[in-house]
Amino acid sequence: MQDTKPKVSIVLPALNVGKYIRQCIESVLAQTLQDIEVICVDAGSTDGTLETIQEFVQKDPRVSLIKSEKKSYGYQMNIGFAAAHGEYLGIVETDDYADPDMFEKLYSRAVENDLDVVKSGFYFYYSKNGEKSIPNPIVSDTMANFTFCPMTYFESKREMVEFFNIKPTIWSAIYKAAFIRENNILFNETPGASYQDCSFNFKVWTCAKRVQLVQECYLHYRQDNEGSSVNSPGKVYCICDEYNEIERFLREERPADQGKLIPLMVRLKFDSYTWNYMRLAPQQQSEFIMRFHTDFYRHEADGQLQKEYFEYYKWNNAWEIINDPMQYHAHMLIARSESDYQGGNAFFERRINRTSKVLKKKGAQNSKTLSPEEYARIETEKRRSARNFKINNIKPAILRKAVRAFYITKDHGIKYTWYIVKAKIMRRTQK
Amino acid sequence: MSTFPAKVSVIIPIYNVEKYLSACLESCVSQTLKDIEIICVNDGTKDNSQRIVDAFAQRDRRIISIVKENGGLSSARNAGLAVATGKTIMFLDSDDYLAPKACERIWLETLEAPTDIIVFGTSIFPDKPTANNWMYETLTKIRTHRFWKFEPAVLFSERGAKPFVWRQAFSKKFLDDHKLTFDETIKFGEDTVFQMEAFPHGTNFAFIEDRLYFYRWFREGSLMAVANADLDSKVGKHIFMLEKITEYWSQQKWFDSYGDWYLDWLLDFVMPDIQHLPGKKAEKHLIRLNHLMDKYDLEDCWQSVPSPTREDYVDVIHSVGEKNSETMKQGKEPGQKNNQTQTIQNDSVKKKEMAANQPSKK
Repeated sequence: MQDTKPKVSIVLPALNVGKYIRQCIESVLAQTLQDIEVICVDAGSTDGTLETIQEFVQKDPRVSLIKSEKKSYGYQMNIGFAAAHGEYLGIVETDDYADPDMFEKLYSRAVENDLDVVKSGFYFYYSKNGEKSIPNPIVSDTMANFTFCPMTYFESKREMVEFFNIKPTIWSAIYKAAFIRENNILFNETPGASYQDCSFNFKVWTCAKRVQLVQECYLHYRQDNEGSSVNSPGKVYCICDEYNEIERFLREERPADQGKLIPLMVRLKFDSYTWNYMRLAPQQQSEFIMRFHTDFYRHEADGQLQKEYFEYYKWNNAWEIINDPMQYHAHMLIARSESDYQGGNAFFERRINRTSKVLKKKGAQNSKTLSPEEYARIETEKRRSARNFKINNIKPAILRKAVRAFYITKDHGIKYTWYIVKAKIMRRTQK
Repeated sequence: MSTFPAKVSVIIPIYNVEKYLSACLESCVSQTLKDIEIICVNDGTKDNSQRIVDAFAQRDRRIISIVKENGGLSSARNAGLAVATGKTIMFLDSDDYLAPKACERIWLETLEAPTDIIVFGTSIFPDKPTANNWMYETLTKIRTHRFWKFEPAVLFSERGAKPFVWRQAFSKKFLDDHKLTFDETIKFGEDTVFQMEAFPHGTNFAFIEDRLYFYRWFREGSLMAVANADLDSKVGKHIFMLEKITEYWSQQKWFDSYGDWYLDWLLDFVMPDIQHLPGKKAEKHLIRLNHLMDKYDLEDCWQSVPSPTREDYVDVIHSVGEKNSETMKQGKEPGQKNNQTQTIQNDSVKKKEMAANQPSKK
């Protein structure tokens, strides 16, 4: 154990990353900021990861190893953070790697401005088919390089949602250790790696008083690791655990701000649930949609579902899930099966095109030869065909497309049409 | 490094407006949407405007200040466009100001669905002198509505379509894709030209009834007030605009699809003014219009039977134009030809026009 405080403690949670761990640790040790502490937390790797780490422990006194009894990303991070002595805490996941100046730049900025959190951009890193890193700055010029408090800075609720929706890349940031400990910010210790960054990220943003965002990218985030948690479709309810944890945290640690934070949390939850729902296989989807329904039914009953946080179409979807989740599921299945959808409102465009084709056939061509009688006839035809547009006359296939158009276009104007469509579907099924 | 766009860019051309500039900038700085960039383009102003901008820039890091030589409103807006990075571009005139939620509302609209162009409602101030009825109707009474593709109605019949570029917000990508900038040769009516060139490219249009903009409708020495004072030069400028627009439209081959609407619009745009001019002056403009119509075969655009008034307009233009071109060829007095044409066609407006020409004949 060191006597003096290192400037930054970097926690490396490792589990079976034999291919990547060497590059990762080397990049951390090669940091231009030398006064660091590297804490590797291994959760029982069996592919040589552990041996590689031990090799580095012997070579470099700044590296230490902790063995975790639980195979849980959250638990690994918690014991790593608990063992850290540094003034600031950083995370580097063991399949990624950092540019040499990352911690120097972030640390100097943090100290200069006395920040709780500094968050930088990152690279999407592809190692297969030719190595490449695509920079991904997380914010615009106007939001970068100045100090603000996320809870008070934003006047617009939706802009705040937007800020919280910035990808939870908790490893492209450093955190003041005292800030993490004072606010009792811990990871959720659910098994495996299952989106524990989600609740951590939320807790950090809600507690932080002084934050800076930086556009520069330092960390290379590997996109093609098959073992990565993002690529596992199995975990159906992990995301629910995360939001339960957030709710618990708000109830116990931030009771004063609950009124403001829970509606925000519900809004973010809606996005995460929708995302989770979309990525699941159909059987799991029908299972998950009921959970979606029960959660949001409860939020609605408690008055936590608030309109000003939602886009119009998302608000509609949320209500459909609350009122009739299976119908929502059915609609999404239809939408999914339509592989050819182009976006926009193909349905209405097609209708218009058809009308104009009919008119062309009937010879509405040259203006010079068009007699007033003909002109009048075509005009009446146009109007009549518009008036004859009734739901009963539409083939089921087109009806489906109308339903789809509703989701795609998200139009205020179509809402009314949609209710007619819905009523007709109900009536048909009853017959 | 690829850049991450701000949500909204507000472009403010500045020229001799020190009286009003503080209120304008204050309204930008205090927007509820934080992620905006405010681009002030000093167009060679001769007063203290730049000092006000600098003071604001020190206070707020989002203000970008550009100083350039005087080149007119269009060139100032272009200079702003060149440096703007935001996803959505708004134009704000420096004697007007924005409602506090303007940027937020526009940004929210772009979140709902893809949007190329947003048109929003406007409040008119000062209350006295009262704005004329046309101004009041077109600026304040917009309906909330979306168009999912370009229809002539968007440009010609929707109430929000009357061209004022400061109540329109454009997607940056849309402007870039179609290389849309303001024409710097036009000193007056560049709004109209820009809109007529931009709108038919668009696919998603949003009209918002919320009044997000405060328009100072009357100011002594303002560009509008000066330009409208002399009807003759106003018509001249209008026809110059029409020449620009028509050229662009024929390049884009839009006459095939929307020529019908365009011709109607063109006639309604200039003809009522020309009718109020005395014969000699009117003739000059009509000849120019006739040339324009012949050059692009505008009359062929009519797909349907035009309204009698517009038909009359065209007849007047042609008769004056033809008379003129024939006198040019044959070197005859214009009066000699008149009698023949008068016998061939007889409709009310043309007669009126002839009557107006009588004195010049003698």
